[in-house]
Amino acid sequence: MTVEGKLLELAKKLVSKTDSGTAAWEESGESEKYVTSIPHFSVAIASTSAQDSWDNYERGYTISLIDEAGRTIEHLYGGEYSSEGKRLAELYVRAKRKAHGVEQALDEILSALG
Amino acid sequence: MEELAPWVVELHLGSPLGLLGLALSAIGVFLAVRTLRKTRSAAEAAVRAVVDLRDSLGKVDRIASCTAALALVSEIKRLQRSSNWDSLPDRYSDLRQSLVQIRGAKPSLSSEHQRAIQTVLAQSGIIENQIEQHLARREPRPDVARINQVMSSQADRISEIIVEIRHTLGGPK
Repeated sequence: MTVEGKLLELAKKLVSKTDSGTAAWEESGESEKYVTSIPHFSVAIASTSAQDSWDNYERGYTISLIDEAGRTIEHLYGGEYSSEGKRLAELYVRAKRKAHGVEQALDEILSALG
Repeated sequence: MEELAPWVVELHLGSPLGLLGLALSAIGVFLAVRTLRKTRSAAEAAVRAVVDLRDSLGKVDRIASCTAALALVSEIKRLQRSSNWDSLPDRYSDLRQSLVQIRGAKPSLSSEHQRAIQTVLAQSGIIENQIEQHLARREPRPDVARINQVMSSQADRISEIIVEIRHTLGGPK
């Protein structure tokens, strides 16, 4: 499997781990970028934009692998309409909600409202 | 029995003095074994005490490193508030070194704390990259409120580690 393929596999696994509540996401300090960690590595998912050769900006998503010294060692960008981008978007939406505690907030509000 | 008889004769086991000698030898061997066991237990206890002491010293060192990291986080927040961007990459580098030391020291951190330190390292790298991009005039000024909020959560995590290490210091294993 290529590195790109492994990164997409990683994104898929993180979607399932996030859904099951075993992957914790946090804000990264950069707008629209979220981070999760295991003891010696971190993964960041970001909503980004890239400029094509005609100077058009395309929206997409980037998954990055961060090593134990905090350096980004690999990343993969997927445009919004590409198959890679769609898979990364799934992870991005979940990571953002988890980092902001959206589900917990909604549960509490709904419970309070009865 | 007939074959053993010459040995018995040679060792004088037939006489009362021979039997007394044998009994004294047996007592001597028993006492020697008991003394050896006691010595071994004492040596093992001493080794355990040294290991415990080293463990406690490691924890004290880690508390000192965490305190130094906390001071760095406070300094970074202050420098960011005053937009003193030029001096920040060096401070982030110091913070990362400090965190790597905290993680690498013995006794090993729990998996949860290792993950917390890794998150702080990743966030620091991402923020430092934004600052470097800003210094290279490629990106606008980082959002100070946002990054200082992240720094505050980092300080909370480091404080939690200090509290937990203090809790285990001198406590039962």
